[in-house]
Amino acid sequence: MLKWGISMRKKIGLWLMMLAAASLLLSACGGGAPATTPDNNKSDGNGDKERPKEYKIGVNLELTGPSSVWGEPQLKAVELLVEQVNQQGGINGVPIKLIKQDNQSKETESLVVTKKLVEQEGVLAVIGGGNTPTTMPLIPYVTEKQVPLISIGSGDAIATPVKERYWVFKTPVSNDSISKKIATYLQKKGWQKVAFMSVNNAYGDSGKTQFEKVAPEYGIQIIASEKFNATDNDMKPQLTNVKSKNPDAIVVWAIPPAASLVLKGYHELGMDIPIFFSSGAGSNQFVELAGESAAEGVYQPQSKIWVVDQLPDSDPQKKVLAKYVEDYKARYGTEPSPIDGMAYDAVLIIVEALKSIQGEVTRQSLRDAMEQVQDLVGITGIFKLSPEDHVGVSDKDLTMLQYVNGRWVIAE
Amino acid sequence: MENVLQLIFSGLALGGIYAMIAIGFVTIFKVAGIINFAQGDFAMVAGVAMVFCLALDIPLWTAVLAAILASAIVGMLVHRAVLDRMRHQSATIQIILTIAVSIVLQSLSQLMVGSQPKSVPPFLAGEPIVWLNSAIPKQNLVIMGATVLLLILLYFFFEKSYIGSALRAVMMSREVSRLLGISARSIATTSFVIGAVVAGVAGAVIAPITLVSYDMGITLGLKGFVAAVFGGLVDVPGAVAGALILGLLESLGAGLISSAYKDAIAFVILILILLFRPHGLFGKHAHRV
Amino acid sequence: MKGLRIRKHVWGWTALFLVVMCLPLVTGTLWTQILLLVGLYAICTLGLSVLIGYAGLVSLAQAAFWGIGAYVSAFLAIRTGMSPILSVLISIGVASGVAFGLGWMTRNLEGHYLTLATLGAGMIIHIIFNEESWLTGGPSGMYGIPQLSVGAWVVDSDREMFYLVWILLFLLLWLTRNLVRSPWGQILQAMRDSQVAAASMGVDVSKYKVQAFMFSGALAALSGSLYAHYMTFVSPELFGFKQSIEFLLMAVIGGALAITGPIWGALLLTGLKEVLRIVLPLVGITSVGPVETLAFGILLVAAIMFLPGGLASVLPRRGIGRRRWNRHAVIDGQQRQ
Repeated sequence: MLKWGISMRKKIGLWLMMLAAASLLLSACGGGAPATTPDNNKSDGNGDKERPKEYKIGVNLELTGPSSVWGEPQLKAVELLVEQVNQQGGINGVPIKLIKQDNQSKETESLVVTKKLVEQEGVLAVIGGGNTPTTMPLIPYVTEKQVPLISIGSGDAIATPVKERYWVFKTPVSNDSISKKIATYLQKKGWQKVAFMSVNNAYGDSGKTQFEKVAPEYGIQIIASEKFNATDNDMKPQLTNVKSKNPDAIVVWAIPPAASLVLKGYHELGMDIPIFFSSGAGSNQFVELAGESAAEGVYQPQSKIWVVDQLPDSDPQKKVLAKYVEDYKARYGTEPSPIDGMAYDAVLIIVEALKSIQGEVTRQSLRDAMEQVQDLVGITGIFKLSPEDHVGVSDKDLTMLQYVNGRWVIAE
Repeated sequence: MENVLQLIFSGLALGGIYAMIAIGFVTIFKVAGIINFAQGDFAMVAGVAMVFCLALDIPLWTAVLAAILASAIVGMLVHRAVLDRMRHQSATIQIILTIAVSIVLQSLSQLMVGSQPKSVPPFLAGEPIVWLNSAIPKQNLVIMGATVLLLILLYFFFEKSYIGSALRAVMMSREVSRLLGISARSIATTSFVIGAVVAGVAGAVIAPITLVSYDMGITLGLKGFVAAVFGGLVDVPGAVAGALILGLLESLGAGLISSAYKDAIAFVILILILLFRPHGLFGKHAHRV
Repeated sequence: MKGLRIRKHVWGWTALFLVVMCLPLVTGTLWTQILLLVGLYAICTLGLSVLIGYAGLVSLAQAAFWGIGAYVSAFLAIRTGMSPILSVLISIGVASGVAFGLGWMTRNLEGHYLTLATLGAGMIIHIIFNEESWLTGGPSGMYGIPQLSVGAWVVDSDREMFYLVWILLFLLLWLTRNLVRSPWGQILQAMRDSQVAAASMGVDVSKYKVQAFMFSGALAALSGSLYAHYMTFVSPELFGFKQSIEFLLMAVIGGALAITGPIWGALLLTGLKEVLRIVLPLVGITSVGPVETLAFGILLVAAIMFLPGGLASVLPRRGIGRRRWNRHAVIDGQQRQ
């Protein structure tokens, strides 16, 4: 085909260009509808101010890229709950419409798709990003555009200081609380010399800052500190360093796949020092990727979903957790995990807030209602939001788990 | 210092992987004259093929062979369908083409096995071997064994077989080879197949250690280039030596100096070699493109 | 006769300019934003195009210079409260300095070896962006970058930014056109076609190489700093190997020898992604990400195979910014091996 003459190829080339130009124009006219100006009424089109046609909620998650280990289950949970709510007639008869966007695990893309959700789609609120790095860039934007944002990232800087986070909420427990949980357990066991390893991004840095702050209060001494990149595939050099310093315990702050690779490397080096992972390892892939034998004995502070069947019936979360596990398995055929639980809670909070709004549903009134959510039994914990607390859960909602004989159990 | 010894073992295994990528890269460059930016992705194809086969319950060693075969086929297709047709174009165009091919391969893999990494069981089951107080995962031994085996096989291939000799002839002079009746075109394709096979072996043996993902080829390819530069892009022993040195320096650098800048080590060395010994470490040929 | 030819050129340029200026009036905000990004990328690609097409130096470090522009300008604007215009200018200076260093270091390298050296340099710079948190904010990036402003006027709407970028781009295109037709440009091309021949004519090849690198780096920095002030947030993943490849693709696919080449290249690559994102769901494909990349890759392969001279090669011979094309699209002085 390349033996055709120049004129033939030029014709084809011209066709290609015209095609490209035509599709550009078409999409420009069709897809680029003038954005709805952010006025107070967020009803979709046909301005029925009494009862809007639907509630548009934007979803900005890591559906591809290194953090998709988090993003995919999160989206599943979000869709599960919205489906259930809509099947029951929606909120006061109004269904929820989800608009999903993939931020590709990239910080800039996260900002770009959020802009699209807010300006093109005119959503009421945005759920996202799925972790700390993809959430941070959104904060100045949603504050300026006055759109409620509920993130599934656990970095402390996301929702504090509250005065500067008027529009921002998050569902995972803060790194501050997770550090406290780990430190308390370490103190109990008498493991005082700790090696700390973290992933080189906003999530890992936040964990490092918090753990270093909390540790001295519990008599913990950090004798080594190593970093690795989220995309590295060999952490053995760092682990070798840690091994040579002979700590009593190791604390790792990362999400899979990096977290799993650390665990693998730890196992391959024949190490058996007690090792703790932050709640970022709360996905089923964590063990899958590291391998069962590597995961044996690993500790993790986490919400209760993995051990729901070991909870006493008197536990206030048990019913909600059990139902979630059942529904998730029925719908998707796989087990849920704490990660998607956090996403589920985000929708839960929004739904609860929407239900409680007396007057007109706007971005402002939704935000105000979210702040008032009290005693909401979710997957991650029991949420108590307020103008001073945009997280709602703390170390009390965490349990120290350990992986024993192929499953997670409550650690002793 | 058991610390250093442990790092050395990790480094050697790493070097073995880089060596395999580099060998394929050099072979393709010397014979077909193409800088193959998709070299790392040939390794990824093998890894992905393994995941696929294992998911279909195909036994491990069969899956490994199938994976290497898959790489070979992809290598042949890439050359025949795409690169060969553009052999009259400038080098830049060819580089761009291999980049585009790389993009296509990665997205196809993404579609086949998803965006999340997948794990593959080690070839030899069991706990790491402890020697001189260092733990050596059994897979590392597989890697080192594969590298050595490959080097031996390639040596015999190039020195003793007809096709191998033909390849060497083309490497030395295309014009003369054509006069002797050797089809430059099929030789070029052969070089791609060899390059892909070698990369495929690398991808298959490293999969249990680093997990398989659609983008695992990018870094592998880059490090492979750096190693190849140690051989001036045209010398196989130089490339192997370079790969081992690179692996060792990365491992030792990460462990002893700073894990943050370990990737930078590779690239600093790359520039130094290019500036001071562009013909490679053992710079014999006065060979400049 | 000569007057007639000049008028044709001017017509072509004016027509294109007017069309572009009218665009924001007819497209929605989404496309205004996309097109203004196209303009920014085109500025950066212009630098690379000149480097590849006219100097014959294939660089894989363009995104690193883009990043230097972004980070330096952002850093100065945030930490010292400097006026963004000033910080943009300083960032151009810094990038030019680094480009000088790179060009000088690689002055004796040719072809593939030069390209690999730029690859190494680009990667090292990228790693520095990622590691030196005190300077760049590390992997979390830098946010809160102030928008461009001149006195009281702040460029805070997409439309204003669009005009700023495209007017700037056209000025640069005009500047570049004159530059490549000037004696400097002629010598550059002579050097591209044969370094040996040029040197034997008494040309100080190193000097021209360095200058070409500096020109390319300056444009990249200009684009990068404007980008930073527009997005108000940058992070290292924007400035790595992948992005350098994208700029390379834009330059070559648009046509490295045509002055308007960068526009077509940037337009195709950026526009194509958006179009795919819109079109694919309509055809019933839900998992858009990988399919989009696949379609993108396949189209890329097709584009290169059909139009090795770049998109601009289909423009009429005497159109704007055209160059003589030959079948083998010799771009960097290297024929087939």
